[in-house]
Amino acid sequence: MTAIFIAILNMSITASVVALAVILVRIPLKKAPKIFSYALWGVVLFRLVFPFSIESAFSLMPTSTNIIPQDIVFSQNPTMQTGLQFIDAPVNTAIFNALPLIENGTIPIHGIFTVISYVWFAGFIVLLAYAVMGYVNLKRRIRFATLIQDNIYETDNIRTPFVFGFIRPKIYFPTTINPSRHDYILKHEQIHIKRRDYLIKPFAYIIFALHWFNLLMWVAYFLMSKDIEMSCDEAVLIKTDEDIRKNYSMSLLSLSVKRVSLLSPIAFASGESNVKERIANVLKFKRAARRISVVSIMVVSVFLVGFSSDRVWAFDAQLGLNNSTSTSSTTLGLTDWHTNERGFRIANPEEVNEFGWAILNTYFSAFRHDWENWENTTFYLMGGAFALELGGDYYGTFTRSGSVSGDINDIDARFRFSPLPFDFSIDSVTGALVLASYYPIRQYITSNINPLAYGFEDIHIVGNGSEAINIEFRKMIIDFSVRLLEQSGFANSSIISADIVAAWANFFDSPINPINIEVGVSFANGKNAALSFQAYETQFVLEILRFYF
Amino acid sequence: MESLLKLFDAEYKFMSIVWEHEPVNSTELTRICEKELGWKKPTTYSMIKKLCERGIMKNEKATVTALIAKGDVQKYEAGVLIHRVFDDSMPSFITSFLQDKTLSEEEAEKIKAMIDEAVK
Repeated sequence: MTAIFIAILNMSITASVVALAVILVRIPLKKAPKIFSYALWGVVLFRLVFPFSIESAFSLMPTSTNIIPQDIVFSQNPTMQTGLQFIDAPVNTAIFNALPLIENGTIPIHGIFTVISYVWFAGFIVLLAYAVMGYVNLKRRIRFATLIQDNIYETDNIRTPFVFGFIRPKIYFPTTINPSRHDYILKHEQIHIKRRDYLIKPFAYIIFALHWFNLLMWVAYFLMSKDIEMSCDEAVLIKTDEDIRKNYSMSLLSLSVKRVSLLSPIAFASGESNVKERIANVLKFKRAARRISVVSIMVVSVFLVGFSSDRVWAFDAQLGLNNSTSTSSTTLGLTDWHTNERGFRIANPEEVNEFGWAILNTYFSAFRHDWENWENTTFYLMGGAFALELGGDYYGTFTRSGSVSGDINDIDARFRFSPLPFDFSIDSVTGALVLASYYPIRQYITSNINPLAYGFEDIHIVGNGSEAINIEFRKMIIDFSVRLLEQSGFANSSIISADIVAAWANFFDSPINPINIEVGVSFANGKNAALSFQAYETQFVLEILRFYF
Repeated sequence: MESLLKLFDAEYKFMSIVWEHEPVNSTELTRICEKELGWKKPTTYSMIKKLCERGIMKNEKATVTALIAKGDVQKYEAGVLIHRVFDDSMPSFITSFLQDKTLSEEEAEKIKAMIDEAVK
C-alpha cells in the first residue's frame, strides 16, 4: 500500500506541475475553441495514470518525476529530489531537522507513511462508493423511462437531459423538455456520446479520486468538466449552419437548474454559475479563424510533447578529445570533470589493455556525457537527446586482439537519439547493424530483460588499470555489477546493499541515495557483441564497466 | 383513492397500453412495451408488480386487467390542473384554453351543451 501511495504521490506532484501549466496556457487560449483546452487536460490525466514517461530533450518539465524515492520509508535520511537545487536543499534540511533522532535502528518515517497510506486508500474508497451510489440511484430513477425514438428516452423523474450508460449509452430527457423542439440540446448530448465523453468523464473521476488529497486536482477536474461542456456547446454551434446562438442560450437557461450529469459526483462540476459561463461562451462564439486554430494547434502540440515527456537529467554539453595513445596521458578538454574531481582519470592509459575505460560524467548543470577511451583516439559526446560517437577502431580493436589502427576507414560513427530505448548504429567497416538497448535501472526492472538471453554466457568483469580509483570502491562496484548479473531478473532494487551505500557515501563524502543510482546496460549483438554496465548517481560519476567480445 | 389516480408519466403511458389491450396476456404485454416504450422484460414485470401492489391493476393467471378506468384518471388530472393552476376557477381555465384556438360551430355547440348539463 505504501509503495502504491508513494507512486501516486509522485504522480500527483508531477501532475500538479502540469496542471498549473495547463491553467496558465488556458489564459492565452481563452479565445480559441475550447476543444484545445480539453486536449490539454489529457496530459494531466496521462501524468496521473503513468508513473513513468518518455525522456526527451523537448521536455518542458521543470522538475524531475521521482521526487519522493520509493525507498523513503526505509531511509534514515529521507530526502526528495525535484531536480531543482533551490527547492531540494531547504526542504531536505527541514525534513532532516523535523525527524526525531534514530534510535535502535527504527525508522520513524516508515510508520507515518503506513498510516497516511491507509488514510489515502480509505478516502479513495469513500469517493468511489459515493460515485457508485450516485450511479445506482440515478439508474433507479430512470428505470421506467420510456422510448421516444432511437436511443432517446424520457421520464418525469429527472429535471435535465443527460447521457447515461457505459456500453450502449442512452439520452434521457425530462418529459417537460421536448427533444424535437430543443434540437440543439439533443445534438449536444449526441456529441457527448460521439466523443466518448460518457466514458472519459467517469474514468477521469476515478483517476482524480485516487488523487483526492491534492486540491489542485479538484480544480483541474472542475475546469476540465467545464471545458468538456463548452467544447461540446461549440461543436453544436459549428454543426448548425444558421445562427442559433440566441435559441441555444435560451435552452441552456431553461435548463439552468442543478444539472445531474453522467455520474452524480460529477454534478458539482456544472452548477448554475457554470451555465452562466456557458451561455457567455455560446453568445460570443465565432467560427474560429484559421489563424487562431493554427496557433492553438501549435501551442497545444508543444504542450503535449513538452509535458508528456520527462527531462533528461543529464547535461552539460562539452567537447572533449582524449588521446590516450600518448604516454603522457594528455587529457584534452576534460578540464571540467577533471578539475572538480568528480570524474576518474586514468593515469596510465597504456595499461588499459584489451579493455577500454569509459567514464560517465554527470553534473547538475546540463548534459550527461560519456568519455571513453579505447586505446586509440576516441571521441564520444553524449548529452540530452543525442549522442555522437566517433571512435577509431572503436570496435575493431576489441573484437580482435592487438591491432591498433587509426585508419580513417575504421572510424565508427554512431548517432543516438535517446527518447528511443534502442540504439541503432552501423559499423562503417563491415556495414553491420548494431543494435543496443540502454535502460536506466527502474525501466530495466520492469522490462525484465535477461542479459543471458542475449547470448552472453561467459561474462568477465574486469576493472581497469587506473590507480586513481580507490581499490575497495572498485571492488564494490564490481561486486555490485556481478550481483546485477546474478539477479538477471532484477526482482528488486535492494541489490545495492547498505554497506555499499555507506561506502559510496564515504567515498564521496555526501549521502547517496540508492534509488538515484541508475544502471545502464547496453547490449550490442552481432560481430561486435558488447555489453556494458554503467552506474551513476544523479550527481556523481560512479563507474562504467564496458566489455567487448 | 387519490393516490390511486395519481400516475407518473411512465405509469400513465403503460396504463394506456393496458387500457387499450385489456385483458392482455402478460407476455404479450412485455412484447408491446418493448416496442412502444423501449422496455426490457424485467422493467415491464416490475411495473406490473408495482401497479398491482397499488391496486391499480391485477395480474391473474398471467392476464392483466386494469382496476381503474382511464376516464377516472383523466378527470383526476384535470381536477388537479384546475385546482393548482387556475385556483379552481373554471372560467379562467376555459379562457386560457380558448386563447389561441378558434372553435368550429359544432364544437362550440357541444361545449355549450356540456355546460348546460353541468349547471343543472
